[in-house]
Amino acid sequence: MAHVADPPHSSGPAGHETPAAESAVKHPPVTAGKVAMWLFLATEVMFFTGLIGSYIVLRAGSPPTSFTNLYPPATSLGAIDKNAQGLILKEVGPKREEVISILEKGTTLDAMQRAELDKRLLAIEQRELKDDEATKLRDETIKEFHHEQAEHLVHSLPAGVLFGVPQAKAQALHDQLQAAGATASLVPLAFFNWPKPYDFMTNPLSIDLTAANTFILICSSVTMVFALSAFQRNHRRAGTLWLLATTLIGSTFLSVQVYEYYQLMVGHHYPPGISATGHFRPSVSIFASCFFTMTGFHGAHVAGGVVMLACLTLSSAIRGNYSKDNYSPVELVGLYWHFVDLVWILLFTVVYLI
Amino acid sequence: MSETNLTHHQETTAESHNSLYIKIFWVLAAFTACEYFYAKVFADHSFLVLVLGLMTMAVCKAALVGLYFMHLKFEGKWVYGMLIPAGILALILTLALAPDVALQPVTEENPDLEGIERTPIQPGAPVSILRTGNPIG
Repeated sequence: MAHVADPPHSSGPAGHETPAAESAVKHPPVTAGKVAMWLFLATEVMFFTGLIGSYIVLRAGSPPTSFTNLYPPATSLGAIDKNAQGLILKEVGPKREEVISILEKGTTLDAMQRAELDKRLLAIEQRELKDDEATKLRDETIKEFHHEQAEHLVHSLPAGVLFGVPQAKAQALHDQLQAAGATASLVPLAFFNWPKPYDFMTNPLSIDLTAANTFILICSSVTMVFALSAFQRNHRRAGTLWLLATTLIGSTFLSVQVYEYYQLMVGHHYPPGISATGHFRPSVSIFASCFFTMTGFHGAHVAGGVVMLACLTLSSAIRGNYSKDNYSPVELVGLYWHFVDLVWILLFTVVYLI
Repeated sequence: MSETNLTHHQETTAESHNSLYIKIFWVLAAFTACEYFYAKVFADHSFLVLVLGLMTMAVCKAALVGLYFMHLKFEGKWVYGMLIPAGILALILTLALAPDVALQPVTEENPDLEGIERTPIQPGAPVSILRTGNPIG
């Protein structure tokens, strides 16, 4: 908004102010830029309320048998054995190699592991070895693979060992593991209308990592408000440094999100209760598609904010544009950034913690 | 020409709010920690207890960010003239989905937990589009 200049002194007789002078300087209560930004944020309120509201409605309408701890999401109820059990390994105990050996013999491969093993066996076939050599190599590969998968199981505990098997089979392996000094527990079939937080058999989300990420985003909001305050007091260098800090912290938040997405979709192998394939991707369940939609759109907003902050930082560092007489862009981008933080506060609570 | 967003009065009385912002930051950090531990402690408790506690803390945090960091506390009422209708409209549009999504009648795909009995589909009975799998019967 242009600062309306005071009119030329227009008083008449000494001490008497004309009506023109009295009403000359009228400062509008707000600038057009601010109105525009708040109007945009109002549309963003509608956007995110639509997303979070839809999530709440979908969750409220999710039937009580939508998810189980032993079968993949959306498994037809006709295919579920009511008496199925699972087995969780909680502690390995002193006899690690013996436990691994028991797991090698007692567990079967899931779809993801079979696909990986098929890839390795295909590589052997492509080498065009003699029959007996190829057979020997195939058998060794299969044995090594089973051993590797058993090692992976004991690597991070608690680990799901068996899923959706008859009670006798689960009990037998449970007894073997207990005899070898490990701590295992039988898990009966349970139904959920939605994945529970902290339940590693139905919910893959890492609350610890995301809580730390939430704190990181709050820090970036604080540095943003310090940047604006600095420019308002004409501390340009400090303002630029605070803008840089905000950009870097915002980028850190995004990097952690990208890392989380990678682990969910590619890096980590999850139990069947989370995904039939072992990967947590948008197509595996309604929970997955909701999660990726909401956090994905939020992440896109954060990315846009980081780009704007980077532009402001560069503009301030190179040209020194912003000062106490010109800090409007910083304030408006700040409003957007705080809004993105506010949305994340609600999103984190609704999606991760409840 | 200068480019400011403060009125003349605000400009002339501008002062550093940094100490206030730092206090708000610590309050936000404390709330985040409380939420984290609350969710851990009450994970297996009643769903209502979990939701009420967590949403109260989340709304408090959001309010602090909005009122202090976004300066809503120091803006005029005109802002609410935009935010409130948008919020109401968004809520109404989302709740309008509830009958179609959240209030579906029970079908053979989603029977009660006890027994998990199979009931044949009645002709014309609604089947949710959310679930895959072949109908039984």
